[in-house]
Amino acid sequence: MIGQILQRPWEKALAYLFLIVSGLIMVFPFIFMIASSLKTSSEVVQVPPTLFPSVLQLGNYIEVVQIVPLGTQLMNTVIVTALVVLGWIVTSVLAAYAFARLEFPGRDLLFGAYLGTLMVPFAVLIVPMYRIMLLFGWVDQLVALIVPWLFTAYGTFLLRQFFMSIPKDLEEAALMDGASRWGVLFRIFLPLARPAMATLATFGFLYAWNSFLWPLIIISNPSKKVITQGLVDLQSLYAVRVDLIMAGSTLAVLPTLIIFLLAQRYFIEGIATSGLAGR
Amino acid sequence: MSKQAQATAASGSARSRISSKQLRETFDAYSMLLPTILGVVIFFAIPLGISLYLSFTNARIFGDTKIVGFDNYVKALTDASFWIALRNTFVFSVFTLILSTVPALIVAILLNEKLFGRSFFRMLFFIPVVASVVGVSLLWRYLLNLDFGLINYGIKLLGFEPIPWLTRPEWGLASVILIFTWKTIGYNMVIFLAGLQGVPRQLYEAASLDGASRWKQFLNITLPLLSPTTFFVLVTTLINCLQIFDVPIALGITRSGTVGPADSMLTVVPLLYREAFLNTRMGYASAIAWILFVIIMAISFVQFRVSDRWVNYE
Repeated sequence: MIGQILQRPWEKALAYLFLIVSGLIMVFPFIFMIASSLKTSSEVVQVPPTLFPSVLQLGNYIEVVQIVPLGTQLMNTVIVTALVVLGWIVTSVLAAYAFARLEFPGRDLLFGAYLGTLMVPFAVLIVPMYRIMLLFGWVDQLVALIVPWLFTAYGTFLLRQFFMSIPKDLEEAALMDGASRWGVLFRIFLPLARPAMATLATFGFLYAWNSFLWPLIIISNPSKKVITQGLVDLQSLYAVRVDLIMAGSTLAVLPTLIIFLLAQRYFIEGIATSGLAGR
Repeated sequence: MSKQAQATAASGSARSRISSKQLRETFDAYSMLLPTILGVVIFFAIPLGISLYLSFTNARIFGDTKIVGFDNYVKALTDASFWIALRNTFVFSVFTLILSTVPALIVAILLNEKLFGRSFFRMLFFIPVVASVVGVSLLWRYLLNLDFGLINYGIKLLGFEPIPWLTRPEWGLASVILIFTWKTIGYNMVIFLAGLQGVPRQLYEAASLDGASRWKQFLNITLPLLSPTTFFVLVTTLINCLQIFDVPIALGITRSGTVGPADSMLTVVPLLYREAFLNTRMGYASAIAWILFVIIMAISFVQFRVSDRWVNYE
């Protein structure tokens, strides 16, 4: 077998052993988290720890959304995430098509500058962004979690690469027949770009769902907070109730795991593409 | 009309057609770019400028703002917390860099082999990557608990003393390294896998015809051709490490604003957050941000220069 390192059976056995042990290290904490979220408050801190709950405490999930407005916060997170993903797709499709296919003065300069924004750490922007939100009256408003995040240089780069790989024949024929650039974009490129858009959507989802630093700064009203903030509040207010903290963490983590399992391919492609950007 | 005049007229009308077409295209392009340009100007370019300006002022949240020259930068250099944060950030980055890339490369090499169930394993390693950082930090806070955590239970079973991961200053940063590494390995693995799949098979075929052993092939073909990927993984991991925020905050922030026992988990961005929003020293926080930015720019610059020389492109 050419290009393969493992050939003898014992080599493969060793590889499997390594993969199984390290795979368990990756995934077991999540199993333990879900199991712990269903234990009583005394069983969860018991030594030796139990693997599975002796009595299922489904009530933990009800209690946790009552003591911290985690239900509302989950809803806020869903709204913010959905709109950010939508924004990423709309703005990136438009910008990527212009950068990939249209000829106009300033194109390369603009594209280079846009990619350059990726080099600037977000930490540099948080203080002035906070002051701008203050000016706009957006402090403590969900809109502050949405509007500034509708744009993505990464997504524009990803879709531009994809659009550049589409053969020109179809587009040229349509333009000859008098189609406009917008018509070409919507009728030819959009249907072809579905997989690339799915990749972008998975990234937007992860980014928005898991965001923490910006909401922490801009939102302090508990009913406007997102799930990551709710979790930190839960930890600081009810540190002894590990069962409830695990239930809260499960609520924050499970949706991403489910979406990942459904759309694995797109997550992995997205990262592989960003890795190729380094070449 | 002479032939020449005809030709000129034809090319003249062609030129005006082209230029009206070009005008149309430029208009379309800028209409498509309008939302992006507006977004970048309002939420990136203007804040970037304001940030630089603020770093030279004594700005707080409200009240008068005065220009103070380089005072904030000088203050940073004499601020013990800043040095603690800088030291912690570098120690954290160095350990995470090694611990999250070497195992990622090993796993990627194994999963590039024709093994049964390899896509299942790839999925397992990727799960921590997608999970919420805050969620997994709280999970690990439980696992690392001194009295009833699963990790210390295991350590005690093996006959060792339990480790005060989250309660003693000397272990605080180790906990952050552990969690961040655990979460980053899968990400780096995917990039390494993409790199491994880019190595052309013909090279291996030629090498085996020449009688090169498997390990020779690995050392002389795979590793050198993987160097651009390795370099990319190292630089992006380093830049992400320098900006770490979520893990130290979710794991260690207290009501008084310390991050971990005796600030042992305090890194640069949490310090910046604390100065700007808990101590309302926005000018000083901006100066800290720009110091971090300059460090990251220097790394990117080195990346740009070195990648031409050190890295082996196909």
